[in-house]
Amino acid sequence: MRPVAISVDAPEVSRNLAGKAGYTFPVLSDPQAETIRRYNLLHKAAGPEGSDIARPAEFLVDSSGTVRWVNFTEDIRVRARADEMLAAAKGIK
Amino acid sequence: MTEITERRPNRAPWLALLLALAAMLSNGAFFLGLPGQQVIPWLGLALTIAALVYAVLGLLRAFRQPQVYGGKVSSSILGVLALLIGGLSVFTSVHSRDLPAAGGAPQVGQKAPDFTLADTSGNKVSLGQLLGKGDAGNAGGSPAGAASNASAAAPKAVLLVFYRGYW
Repeated sequence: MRPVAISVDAPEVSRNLAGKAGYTFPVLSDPQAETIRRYNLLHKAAGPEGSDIARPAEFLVDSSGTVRWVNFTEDIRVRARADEMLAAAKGIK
Repeated sequence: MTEITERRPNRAPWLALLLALAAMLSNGAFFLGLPGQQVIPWLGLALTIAALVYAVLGLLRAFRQPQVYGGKVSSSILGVLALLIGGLSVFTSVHSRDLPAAGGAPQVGQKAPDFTLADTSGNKVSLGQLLGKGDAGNAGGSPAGAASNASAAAPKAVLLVFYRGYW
């Protein structure tokens, strides 16, 4: 399974974060929230200075591009745990 | 003839403050990634309610039974503190749950919409590439970072994690 992170942060900001946190997976930038909008995950004016950001969401997509598992938290403090995501990924051949 | 009343310590305001602090600190538990973490918000709310109950109890004791319980000033100060900290906890809780519905987002069984986004090196990466399909368009080889990962062995699945950013 390949994890991929997406946010409105600029590539420099994401590079900083990935460097500090030691992330080796792709961290992608969607500064205009185009992809976030396409996925219907826009959280309007929730960022600093009223900027639009993504609501947290996780999707497990198989090699055919089909969504196999999703997680939409109702509380920004509660996120999908690694073991839940790994368990979901195990079900994909 | 004077009746001798036994003085008792008024610990309720202190308990209120401790409970309010515990409610606030319970937010730190989210970083532990514990199983059953979805109960933490409710635990925090329960601690806040308990804090307010003890704050009111402390004030009632101090002002209604001053001959038994002391602490009119301390219970007032601690009550205000517990109210402020508790209020902050409730505000955080409400704010944390203020999320738009995700009904329109891709659901299980649907195709994940394609996208092309810049990675941390500024290289464009598409979902197709990440899934290990059709990497031919990535002229100029695969620079360091995501693009080179994308052209490596195709993974069984890609986990897309949308996050709020501004970390």
